[in-house]
Amino acid sequence: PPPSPGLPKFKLAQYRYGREEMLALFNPPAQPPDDLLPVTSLVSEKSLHPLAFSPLSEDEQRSALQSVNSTAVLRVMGRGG
Amino acid sequence: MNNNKFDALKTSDSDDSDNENKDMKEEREPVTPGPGEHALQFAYTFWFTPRFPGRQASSLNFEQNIKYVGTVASVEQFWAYYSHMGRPGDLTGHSDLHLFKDGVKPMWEDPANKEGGKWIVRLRKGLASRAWENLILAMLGEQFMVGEEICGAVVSVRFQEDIISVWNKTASDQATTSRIRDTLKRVLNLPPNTIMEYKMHLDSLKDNSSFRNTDVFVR
Repeated sequence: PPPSPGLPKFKLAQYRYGREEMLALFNPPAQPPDDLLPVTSLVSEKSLHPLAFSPLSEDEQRSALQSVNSTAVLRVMGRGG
Repeated sequence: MNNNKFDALKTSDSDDSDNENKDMKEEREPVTPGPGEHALQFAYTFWFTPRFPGRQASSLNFEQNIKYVGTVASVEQFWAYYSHMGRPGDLTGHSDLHLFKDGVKPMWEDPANKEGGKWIVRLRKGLASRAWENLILAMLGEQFMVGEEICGAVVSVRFQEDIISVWNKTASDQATTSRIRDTLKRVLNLPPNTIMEYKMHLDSLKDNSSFRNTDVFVR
């Protein structure tokens, strides 16, 4: 969609990073940060790459063309599922 | 699929048994970018809520269940956390992962949130991990272009669906909420028929529900 009209002028952020800039700065440490370690059900000992570096799965490709919504919300909206 | 409940119980227990988890009231040292790192416009804090299955999520036990994960003030610090976190789609059971501006609690009652609301996209299973990554890269990179209106983002893992939300400060500011919706559509590459919902936190407080009785938008 085009930019939303009607938004009053706002101050531009000083620190802005486009998607490619964020990804170009990806260079994580081998070990998880100390604060993360106690949250055992969330931590991954192995460092994982951003998903942006992996191609879309077949399911993701199909969804992009059809629908991404859950059956639950489609049902509430009366669009079956 | 049948194992989900037990996995959720097990992980909740293991998270609960550690005693050094910082709770929401604890004072923390401010986090700053390291030397040579790329500063973010705002520091952000990750929070994690492993919910106990079958228990009603009142705001009281919500506050007890929520875990401080860590605060990041630079792009490099963000990647250090993100790369060592399980992907939302791989989390078992019923859980929420939050990324909020440091100082804003991921709760309806927080002063930064109480006049606010959130955009909600309820996704089929299998899509949340990439959507979450795309969303938080755009949020941290200041791609929403709504000044200081963004409060944070949440991915909620449920049994039948995963839910992505973006919280903003002023629910009554329609120009801002429209821009957030349109940006969300672009950064998540949502197909044109995607159902998006908006809910004011005041209404969430009234019906004690995060995702029911929303205003629906289809574009």
